[in-house]
Amino acid sequence: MSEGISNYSIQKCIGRGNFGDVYSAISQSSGEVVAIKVVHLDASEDDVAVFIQEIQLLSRMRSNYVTKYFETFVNQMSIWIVMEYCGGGSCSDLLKCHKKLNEEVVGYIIRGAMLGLNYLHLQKKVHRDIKSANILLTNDGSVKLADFGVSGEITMTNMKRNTFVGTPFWMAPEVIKRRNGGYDEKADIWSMGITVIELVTGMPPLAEHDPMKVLFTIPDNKPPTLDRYSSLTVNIKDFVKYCLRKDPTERPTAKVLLHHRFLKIRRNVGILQLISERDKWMEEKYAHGKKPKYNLGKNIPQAEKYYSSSSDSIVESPSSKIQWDFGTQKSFHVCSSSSPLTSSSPLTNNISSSTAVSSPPNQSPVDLPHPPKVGSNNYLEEVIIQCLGKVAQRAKTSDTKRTVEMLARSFISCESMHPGMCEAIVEEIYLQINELLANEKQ
Amino acid sequence: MAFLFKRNPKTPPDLIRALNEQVVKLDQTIDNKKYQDEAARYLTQVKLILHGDDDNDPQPDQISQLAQEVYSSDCLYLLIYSLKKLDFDSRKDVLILFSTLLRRQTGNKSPTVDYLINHKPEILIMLLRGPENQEIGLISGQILRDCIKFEVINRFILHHQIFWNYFKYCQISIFEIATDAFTTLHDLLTIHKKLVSEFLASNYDTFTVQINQLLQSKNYVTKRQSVRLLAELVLQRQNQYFLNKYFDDTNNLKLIMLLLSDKSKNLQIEAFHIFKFFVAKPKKSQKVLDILIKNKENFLELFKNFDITYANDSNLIEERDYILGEIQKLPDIDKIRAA
Repeated sequence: MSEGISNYSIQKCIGRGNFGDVYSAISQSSGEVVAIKVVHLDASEDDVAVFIQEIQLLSRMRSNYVTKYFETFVNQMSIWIVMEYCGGGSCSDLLKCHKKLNEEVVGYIIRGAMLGLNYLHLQKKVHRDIKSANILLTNDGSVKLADFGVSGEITMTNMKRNTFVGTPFWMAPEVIKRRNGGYDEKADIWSMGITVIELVTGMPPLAEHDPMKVLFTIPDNKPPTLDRYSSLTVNIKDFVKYCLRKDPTERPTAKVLLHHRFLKIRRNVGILQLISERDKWMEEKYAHGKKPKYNLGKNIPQAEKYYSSSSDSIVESPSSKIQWDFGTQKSFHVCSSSSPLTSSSPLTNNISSSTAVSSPPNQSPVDLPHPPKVGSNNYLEEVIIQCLGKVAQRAKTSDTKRTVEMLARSFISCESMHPGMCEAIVEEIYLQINELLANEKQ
Repeated sequence: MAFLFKRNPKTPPDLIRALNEQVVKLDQTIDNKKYQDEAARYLTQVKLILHGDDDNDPQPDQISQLAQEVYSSDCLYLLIYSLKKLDFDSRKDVLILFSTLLRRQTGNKSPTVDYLINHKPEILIMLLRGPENQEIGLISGQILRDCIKFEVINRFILHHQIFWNYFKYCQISIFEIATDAFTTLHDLLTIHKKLVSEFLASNYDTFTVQINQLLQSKNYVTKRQSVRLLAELVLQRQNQYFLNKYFDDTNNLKLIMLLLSDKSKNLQIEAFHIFKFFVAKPKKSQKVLDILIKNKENFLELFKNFDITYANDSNLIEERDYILGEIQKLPDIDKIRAA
């Protein structure tokens, strides 16, 4: 697995986020520049299955308008996701350098992004984080949608940690109102509308407000518009109105919006010129790349070494120094043969009383404590099946016999699903009969 | 509907026959772009019959005709056999055809399940071998997991020798293939609980050897997935026979203890969810008890630093304290030796 990693030489950190950092790297075999997202799996308690599922999804996406997935490696406690590198940077970087973009350029960018979105939606995938920062440009000026799913979660500074650390400015009203799911691909259309406003004005609506307060205002406010900008054409204003319908069912699909006049783009919008100006600007600002949040780990070929601040780094657990003793030559016989550990255990306590599956830790799957009433503790065979056998013998017709057999099979399957059930039934019948007999005597 | 016919004059059986013809040719030629495109076109039409589109709803009688021809012409066999030679998007259409047919019921039977088990189990075997081929590994896995939802198919697979290959497939060096194979393995062992409990009971030894190998993998992801799977199996009370054996075996205890002291916090916690049962089990084997006693000091040291606060799980904290208490009750080695 590490052969794979040695094929890439890390250049510099180009982005950072909650779960890890993004690096640019050169593939030794192809000479191509790639982007590598490093996800630290031990940095959160999330099940790895979540990340794996998203990577599987990434690998099933093949479109010219979505950043390509190449491969993934496991390196120590992190996974490295190798993706297409977009040398033109993100549209949010473009915006930082140029302050705002003209309507033609925005139309060009949104068309590419919408083609990517249309592809995702055809694959039944909701992006969930459309904004200029997630629309990337290649060196030759093509537009690619990036950072959906896991790759998004790495680079987003976002709500994964139950607070909206990042920027909810792009969120659709229905996403804010029903935070745990309950929205569909139309939420992306809203975000696309906000992105249009962001690109053409320099920032999303409400950007001057506190992000947390915006959460409350977006669902109540009227949808933002571009109407007050007299320099803009009716095309872009109309497009934004379609995207920003508050009722998601009224928003057109990506497929339909691709036919909108605003996206009917003439060839050259001067995007390459904008990118090269941005390159110069970036070079002055981030000559050495960004500072990564995590240490990449040992034995990684990289041009520059970064040392993360102690609080962020993955510290080896002190327990890894423990020296276990697995020798079995000597036995310690204590308290005769029974275990000293049977006293009221929260792991075994509730078993006989409850068969509910509510909190798994409270049920022990092992050795249910049977009170020793019947010789071998086998209530199913020695009591239930025995009795049913005798009932079957008493049966007058074969039909009745079959019914008894059915009953027996049900008991067997009930017992296998809930071991101890037969014991409980026998015990209850026994107690009930005793009680009835006692009453009779009185 | 009339609209559908105009654009697509072939009847569903004709369509399947035409598709089969192209798929057979795909297999015979090297330069198969033409047949690939033809097959893709027919598959798109098949998808249209199955799912309809914005203007047309799917018609049950058409689907039924289509299904009949699929079974009688071994269309699924041909498609899976040539899966690698179909283009990327066509493979997704095969998945749709497969899963739609699987869900289709006549009476309370699934004719597709019956077909797969009784007529062409070779299809299942080909799908099971999917991870051996990087290109079609993922799509085979997706189709297979749709099939596994049916208990008879799951049973067929568990009783086939090829099932054990999955412990190797999930260690393949291609990440997506390996993790996809693991997902399949996980489904095979968790969906049909009764079936699995019988299987584990009669295959304790082989299974334990295999899962223990995964627990010792050098690959962090494999380790975490397999310890998580084991923890899931351990929580299944139906697996009692398996569990009684598992928790008496010192070899298992050793592996879990090693994970308990792994440098990964997550592995420690996952391992704890298995370890706790070794400690809490009322009747422990003498050997298990010996190892617990010998390592009493180690455990106390370990749990002193056992960092679970970030997991923010009050159950977990309660359990840790209980296990810690039980370990404290273990006799001290020195005293035993002195006595």
